[in-house]
Parts: sequence; C-alpha cells; structure tokens
Amino acid sequence: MFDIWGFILQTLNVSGVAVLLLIIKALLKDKLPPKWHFSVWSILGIMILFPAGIFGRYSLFNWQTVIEFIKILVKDYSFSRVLFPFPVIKTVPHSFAEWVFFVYVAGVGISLLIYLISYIRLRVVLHKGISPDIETISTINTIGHKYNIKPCRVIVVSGLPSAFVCGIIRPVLVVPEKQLDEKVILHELFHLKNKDTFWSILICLLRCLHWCNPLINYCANLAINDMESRCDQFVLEQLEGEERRDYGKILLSMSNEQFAKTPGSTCINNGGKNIRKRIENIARFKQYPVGMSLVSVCVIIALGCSLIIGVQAVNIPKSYKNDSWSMASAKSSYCTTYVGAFDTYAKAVITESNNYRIMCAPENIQTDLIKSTNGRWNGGLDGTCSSGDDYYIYNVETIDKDVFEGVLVLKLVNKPDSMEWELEKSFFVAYQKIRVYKEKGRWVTIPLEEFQYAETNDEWLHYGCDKLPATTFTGTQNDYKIDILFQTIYVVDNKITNDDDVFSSMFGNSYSYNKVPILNAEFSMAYDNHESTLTHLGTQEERDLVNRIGVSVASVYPGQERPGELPPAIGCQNIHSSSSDGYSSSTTSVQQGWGPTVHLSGGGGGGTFSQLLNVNTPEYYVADLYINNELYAQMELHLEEE
Amino acid sequence: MTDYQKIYDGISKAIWGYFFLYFNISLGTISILPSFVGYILFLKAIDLLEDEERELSLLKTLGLILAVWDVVEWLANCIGYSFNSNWKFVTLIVGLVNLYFHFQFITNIASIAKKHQWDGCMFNESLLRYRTAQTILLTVILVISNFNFLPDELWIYIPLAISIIYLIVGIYIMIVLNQLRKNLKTNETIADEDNIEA
Repeated sequence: MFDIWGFILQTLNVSGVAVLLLIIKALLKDKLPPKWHFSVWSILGIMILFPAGIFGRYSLFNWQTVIEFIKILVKDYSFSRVLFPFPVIKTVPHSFAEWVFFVYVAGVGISLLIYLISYIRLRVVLHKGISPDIETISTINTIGHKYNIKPCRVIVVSGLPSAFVCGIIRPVLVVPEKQLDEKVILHELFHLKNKDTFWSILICLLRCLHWCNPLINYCANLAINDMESRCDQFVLEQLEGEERRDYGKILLSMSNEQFAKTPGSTCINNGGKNIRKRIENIARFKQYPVGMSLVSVCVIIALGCSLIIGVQAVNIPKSYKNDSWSMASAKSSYCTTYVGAFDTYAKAVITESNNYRIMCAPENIQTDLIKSTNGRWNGGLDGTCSSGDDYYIYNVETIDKDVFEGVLVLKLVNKPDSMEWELEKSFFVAYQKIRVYKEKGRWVTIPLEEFQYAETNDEWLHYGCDKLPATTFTGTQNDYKIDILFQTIYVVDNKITNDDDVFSSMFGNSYSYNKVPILNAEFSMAYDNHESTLTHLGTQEERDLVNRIGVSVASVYPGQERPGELPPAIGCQNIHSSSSDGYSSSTTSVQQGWGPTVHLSGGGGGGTFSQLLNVNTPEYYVADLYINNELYAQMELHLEEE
Repeated sequence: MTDYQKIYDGISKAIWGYFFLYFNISLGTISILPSFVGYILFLKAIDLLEDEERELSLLKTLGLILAVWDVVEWLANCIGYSFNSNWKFVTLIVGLVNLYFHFQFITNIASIAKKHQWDGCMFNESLLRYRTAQTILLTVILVISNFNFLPDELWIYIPLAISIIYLIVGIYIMIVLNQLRKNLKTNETIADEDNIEA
C-alpha cells in the first residue's frame, strides 16, 4: 500500500470478508464447535495479508470501481493498486491525500508501540516472579501428564488474579500466589498446547494494520473471545456435572484487567466484558459429534478458496456512456491477458467506444481519455466497421517478455475517403500494427502506426490475404525470382449462442457477435498462410518460350534440416495442392505474352490455438522450379530485408 | 399420528425433497421441478422428525433461508435473470448454508435410522457414507464454481464429471432412504420385542 487509496481498497476488501464471516458465524453459531469458530478467522487473517485486486480479482465485490469513481470526482486520475499489504511511504507528503496516508501510517506505528509497551510492562512484572514450590510444580505436571500436555517453565507472581501463559519461543506459565484450581491450569495448558500466544501476537499485528477500521477491531476482539471459548470447550469436555458449573464461577475470578490486550500472552481476554459471553457459551455447552470435523473443514475450505479466488474485477460499462461511474468502471476493468488487450482494443475501434479504449490504454493515455468529454473514440479510423463480423490479429510476434505485436485487421462496410474502388466485388479492410504490453499488472495496447487501408475480394480473411502485411521470403536463380508471403492469423471466439430463450428450444439456437470486451480472452483459432508468386527477370522473347510453370515449395523451420527432394510440380493440368507437412506445389499453364509475374497460389492450415501454439515463421523456404515440365532450378528463399 | 407414522412420513418427505433437489426439468427458462419445493418438503420432514432427533430443529432457520433463496432464484430465472458474480456475497452464504444443512440433515436421519432400523441393518452407516461423499462433492462444487473464468475447453468436462457423480450419490441417498422407510420398526413390533426380551 503506497497511498491512502490503496489502503481504502484493501480495508474495504477485508471488511467485506469480515461481514461475510460474521453472517456465516451467526448462522452456524450453535451448530459448529468453538474450534471452528476460531479457525474460521484464519480466512480473515489471510485476506488481510492478501493484496486486494491481485490478479485482477477481489474477494466479494469489485471495490476498485468505487475507489476510481471517488478519485475521478477529486480529479485524481492515477490507478490505485495494492501490491503489498503493508503501508510504505515513498515520498514526503504534499497533497491532502498524502497527508491522510501519513496519518494512517503513523497510527499503525503508534498502535504497534502501544502493544510493545504493554508487552514490555508484562515482561518486567514477570521478571519479579519466583519459582513455585514443589507442590505447585507437581500439581501442574500431574495435570499435564493426565491430559497429555507437556508443561512449560512455571513462575509465581504475586498480585495476579489468575494464571496465564506468556511467550512464544520459551513460553512460561505464570501462576498467582493463591491456591491453584485444576480447571484454570488445564485451561492455560490448552492455550500452551494450541500455541495461542503466537495467535494473540498475530491478531494484534493484523489489528494494527487496520487500526482505524472499527469492524476489523471488532473482529479481532471476537477472534480472541473465540480462542478462549475453544479452550473452555476443551476444559468442559473433560469435566462433568457440578464441575462444569464451578468452571463458570471460576471464570468470573479470572478477569485480568491489568494486562488485558497484551500480545504474546493468554491474559489477552478483552477483560471482564468477555467473561459474560464465555459463561453464556458454557451454559450452552454440548458435546459435538466426531463427524463434525468433516463439515467444519469443508466449510473453511469452500469459504477460503472462494474468497481467495474471488471475483474478477469486471464491471464493463456500456460502450457509449460518458459519465464518471462508467469511466471508473472502465478504469477498474482491466485486461488480464494479452489477448484480452487485443480484443478490447479491437472492440473499442469497432464500437467507437471511449470506455473500452480506457480499459486497455496505458496510464498516460488513460488520463486524457477520461478527461475527454466525447464518449466516442475510433482511433482515427476512416470508415465504419462491420459490426457482425470478427476482427483478425495478423502476424502476432513476441517482442520481449510481456510484449507482443500484431496487426489488427477490420472489415469496413464503406469506402475510406482516401481510397478509390479498383476491384470488382471487393470491399475495404483497415489494418494497424499495435503493441500489447504489461503495465503495472494491466495488459495495455498502443497503436504503432495510423490505420492503413486495402481493397480486397478475399472474403475469408482468417485464411490470409495478400493485400495485408506479411513476411516476405525471396529467392532468385537463372532469371527467375520466387516470392512467398507468409502470414499468421489469430482469432478470438466472439460468437454468442442464444440458447436460453423459448424460440431457441423451438427453432434451434441463434448466434450473434459479442461486442463486449473479453478481458481474459485467449485465442481460439490460429491459421497460417503462404502465397507464392514467380517473376521472370528476362525478356519477353525468353518468356514466350515457356508454356508451363511448376513450383514445389517446402518450409524449413529453425533446427530442421533442408528437405532432400520435393514432390515434382509437373503435368499438363493446372493443379494447386498443399499438404499438412508443409509441402505445397502448383502447376500453371501460361499463354504467350505472359508475365513478367504470375501468381502460383499457396497453402496453409489452421486449428485451435492450443494445437497451433508453434505457428512460427519459417527460417527459410526451399523451392524447385519446373519450366515446361523439367526441373529448371532449385532455390532457397530467405527473409527479405526490410 | 403414531410415532412410526410420523417417522415414515418424515422420511418420505425427505426422499421427495431430494428428488426435487437433484432432478431438474425445464421448459425454456422455467424449471417445473423447482428446488424450493424440495426445501419446503425438507422443512415438513424436520417438523415430523424433530421429536425423534432434537438437533433437527436447529436446521429450520437454515432450511427456510435456502427455500426463500431458491424461490427468488426460480422467479429470477422465469424472467430470464441469472445471478452472476456480482451476487457472490449471497451465493456464497447460501452455498455454505446448503453444505451444512445437508450434512446435518442426513446425519440426524442416520441417527434416527440407528434407533429404528431392524437389527443387522446398516442403513445408518450407508447414510453416513453417502453424507460424507455428498459433503465433499458439495465442497468441490463450491470451490470449482469460482473457476468459471477459465476457458471452456479447459473447464467444461470437470464440472460435468462432478455433477454426474453428485447426481449418482443423490440417487443412492434416495434409495437408502426408501429402503429405510420400508424397514422401519412399528411401535407394535418394538413392543413385541420388549415383551420377548422381558
């Protein structure tokens, strides 16, 4: 926690957990044993040490939106995160918020100091303690032996109302001068057995972190009460009839106001106020059956896992709304995968949504977008996107750790102003190279260039398009040059199946396109495509001697050996074929006057993203060129220098 | 109503309660075997059986909470609304209450079975075994319901497999309860046994 907003976020998250625990404990008050009622507080302890919003998830509610909303109202456009559950002051306070944080940190320090002084006071008193007589030691050893608890060192301190255990590493059982009651000693030995001095210190430390949150203080008191009730239950299980009633009376005399709330000791019992509740519990005492431990553990596992996994910080606003709450929602709903950042950026352009752009924008751009009064943003796109179609990410590359680049490709429904129609039955696509990277735990997107446009009649853009950016491999031999364009195409599944209405059960499911960003998206499909063209570098007279051209091509990946022989590309028919093992061949008849360039088609494949995780760019290609059905040249095609 | 008749009716209602809980037939978004009917039947069963097992009365409040929540959920589903992660606070409480309710309910019925089954019958032990399986499965379901953010291709089969096992355990619970119902000793037979022992 580096600022007051981080603390508020953390304490709100923990408060939600505390309220939930209080409700669950109230519902199961007389149904589960005191051991469970104490153990369940461990979940609150874990949540206090678990940074709110880590991995983009919160225990119960997405508090981030509330915090960001308040911050927008006070013109603070930074993004609050909790990376660390303890407060750290990084700068000298200047603003009001920084001073408030300073006061909070000072409060943590003072709380710790109060507990430390209290502990030192207790140790000073214990220093005056004397060794007990043999009879006392014998009594304690007998009780320990009877209940299978190993006693610790014992000292006698005059003026104490009751016995208690103090210390963690070398605990000491402190007893008063007056005659010892076996039940009190048993109670303290159970504290010793359960290492309750350690738990009392932990409770005090966690209480200090949230000293200004009354709910957490209340829960800390309850946790200590439950710790006592757990020991009471142990003792009562050993007693019978009249002895149980006596135990209640003895409790009244055990109140230790002098060292109440001293950490590291078991006299931390909130003083006399707690005794009444404990006596009520004793009156309600019952033996819990052995099987209860199963449901006790199951409830804690289910509760703990659910709170730790939490809910995703998703509160995606309407694409067009331009109020502070929508912007706060956008700011707090961030992408948790790099594909999520690609998806969010694409949908921001498609729906012209300022809010969606805020969700995937780096912090420096985000502030300008929030200040902008215009709810629309389209990234400078000259045209309108087809709303019922997918977008495509071409040529995704890993640039560095947590840095990816790709080309966003969008189908347009109209002609950009800067373009003219040149092809028949064609349409326009817009494409833009974008970079996705991780910034303070959020995946964000930045464009690397302005939108560019191309006209094409390749309807199936997921199979590739020669008008769109590609990696080019080139080889030249004996006046012939072969170029291969290589592309990878990635798709996110944005299809929504509408199967939950009456019509779907009557007429079958219908489908629509999901225009809402998927913050944790993954690629569902991946394809690769290579297109080859042949160019003759000689004269037209030389070209006119050619009537058939055939090319066999194979890709060679890093670490692979060059294939020995390629399937021959000969015959008298025009055939284009490709195989799944990376070979493709093409034979084409050419008429007099052809060229100098002829398109030889290509190949490719596709599958689910997990199957094609290794869709890498080849190191080079090898090609066998057949002229008039005779092997004319064997080439290696290497990456063209940009 | 005799004690025997009350126990018989109580267990019958518990069987039907589980039937409504485990089986779901929907017309569009509307369930025609709503689970709140199951909880109402459990509450009726508790009324009939609480004289035999005092602990059962502690479940009345929890049963009522579950019934009310299921009514709300059923009505919401009827109008096409489903409770998403924004309702986690409530759904988690209901899930935990549900976990405890079924654990305690079957534990108490097993206790009644122990008192009223014929000698040599082990319905109580079978019930406790299925109760343990049901409790573990309900815990697993509660835990994995938090992982619904994972991609479908990774996640679709695990909940399906657990649901099938959960259904099988539920069917076994109903079978054992039905066998127990048929096997109950009547007051007359208990009296006869006492006479023989005397």
